[in-house]
Amino acid sequence: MAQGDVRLNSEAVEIIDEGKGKWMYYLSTLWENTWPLLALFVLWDLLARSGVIHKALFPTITTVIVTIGHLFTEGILIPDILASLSRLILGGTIACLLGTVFGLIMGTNRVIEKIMIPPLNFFLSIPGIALYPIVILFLGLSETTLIATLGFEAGLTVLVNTWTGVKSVPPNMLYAGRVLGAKGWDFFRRVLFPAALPSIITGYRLGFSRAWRILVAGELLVSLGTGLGYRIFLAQDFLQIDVMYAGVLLIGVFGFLLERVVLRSLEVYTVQRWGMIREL
Amino acid sequence: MSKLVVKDLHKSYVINEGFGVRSRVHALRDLNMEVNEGELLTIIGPSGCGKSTFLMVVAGIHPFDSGTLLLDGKPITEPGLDRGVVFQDFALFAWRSVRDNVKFGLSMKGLPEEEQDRITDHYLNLVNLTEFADVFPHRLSGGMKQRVGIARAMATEPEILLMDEPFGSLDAQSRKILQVQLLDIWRETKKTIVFITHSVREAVFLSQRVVVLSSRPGRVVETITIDLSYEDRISLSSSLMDYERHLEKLIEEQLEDDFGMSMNVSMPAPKHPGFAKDEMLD
Repeated sequence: MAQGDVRLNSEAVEIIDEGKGKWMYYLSTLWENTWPLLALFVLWDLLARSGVIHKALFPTITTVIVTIGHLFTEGILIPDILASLSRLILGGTIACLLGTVFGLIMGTNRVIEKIMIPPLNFFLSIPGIALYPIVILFLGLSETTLIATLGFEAGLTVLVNTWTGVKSVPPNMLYAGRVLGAKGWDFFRRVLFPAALPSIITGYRLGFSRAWRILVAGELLVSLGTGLGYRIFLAQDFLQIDVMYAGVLLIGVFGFLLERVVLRSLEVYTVQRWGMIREL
Repeated sequence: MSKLVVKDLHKSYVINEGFGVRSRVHALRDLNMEVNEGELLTIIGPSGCGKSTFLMVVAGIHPFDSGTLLLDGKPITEPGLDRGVVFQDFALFAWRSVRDNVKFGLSMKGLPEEEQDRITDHYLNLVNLTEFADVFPHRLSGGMKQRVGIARAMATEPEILLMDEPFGSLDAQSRKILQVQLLDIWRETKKTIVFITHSVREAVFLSQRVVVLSSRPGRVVETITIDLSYEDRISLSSSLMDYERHLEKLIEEQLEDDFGMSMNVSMPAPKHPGFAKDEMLD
């Protein structure tokens, strides 16, 4: 693990692998994370080529990749990706911030907690997609509608995870912070937040994956003319089956990148390095 | 001179038994105690006698019902840097290196950076952890973790050090070594220390005076002065055993009382395990 900069005891701890440098490490990590997916794609291709399922209904992955190339050269793909990602990142980030702050407050104040639990459970059971028609009434067919709805869904997820995270911090950890003089904002930022971070990061991961789902569905309902979700549903209307597959593939790839590159890295560099979660 | 004065201290807390049934547990009642300046005093008693509760009250974490609690003549109302606490489960900050754990209180104090580093180095050296300064706590053994805990509590130079069964979760060897180290540190710094333990041997080995508490609600049964030299302690002289035997008998009596009492308790037994209301962040 990336802690080799500390020699605990030169006699007791020996470096058994010097590694092959930073870039080789990144490369091997990339390979570790992609080969199972690539294997899946190969299976897809073999299955499609075998002809068990009709080619028109289940195109080969090479066809889908060619389609992605066409969409790219036609100048449709980049605006779609940018539209979807910017909605996701904007809504998701706001949701993470608000969810964390309110989760920390809810986990530390008994009165607020008691008041918040019933409405929280009420709203948690409502799928974001069911809210779109109502949100559209107020915010119209707009970007704001998409961002607000996905933010709502992701924010609640982050809130619940932060709240339960705070509640499961050992009391002595909090006492230690207080007897060492941490109060108010300092206490939140330097004790409570890091102590609850394992659960908070889980909240971010769940929050973003839920946000991604709700966004794709929303792009159909709100139909702003851009977005990967919109592209899939448009392709359905025109029976462009390969475009439908291309859209689904890209959604999966971006979700995968967000999780593996951003959120997983965050986890490795914080809670895993600190020994707060187990490394497999 | 008395550093810490405890007079008629009463501490109770409410337990939620479920289905709206709530009960009040009296952890400490009419507790009287004085801790002298520069003294290492241990508190010993049957488990559940309120020893740890008492320490958390002194630390200012838990409020108390009535009585007087003075540190250097000033009433204790909230946590403060004039009291350092060492916890049984270490309670180290996993997200901070050993050095940054020790530094935490100093930065909260708002000392200049160089001053913080200088003091941190001093205390890391005192507990022999200089070479582990940049390691995250999860890589340390139990004994080392607790040494970080001690350094962290001492770094802010509190008036009094409160130690809540600090060696209770350590293996026998680490425990022995840390006891000697603590005794050495105490001799060197002459810090006022209140040390909670349920090991009679530990109490006699370490302290000037031992306070024996009764079972809940905790009261002082007896205070014993351990009149032994450092050499007597280190060499485990036979007079150590006399004190141990005496203390052991006192605690056994407490336990007998405890068993006698539990035959006719007036409080209804909980239908299912109750949850102690956490008093940590009110």
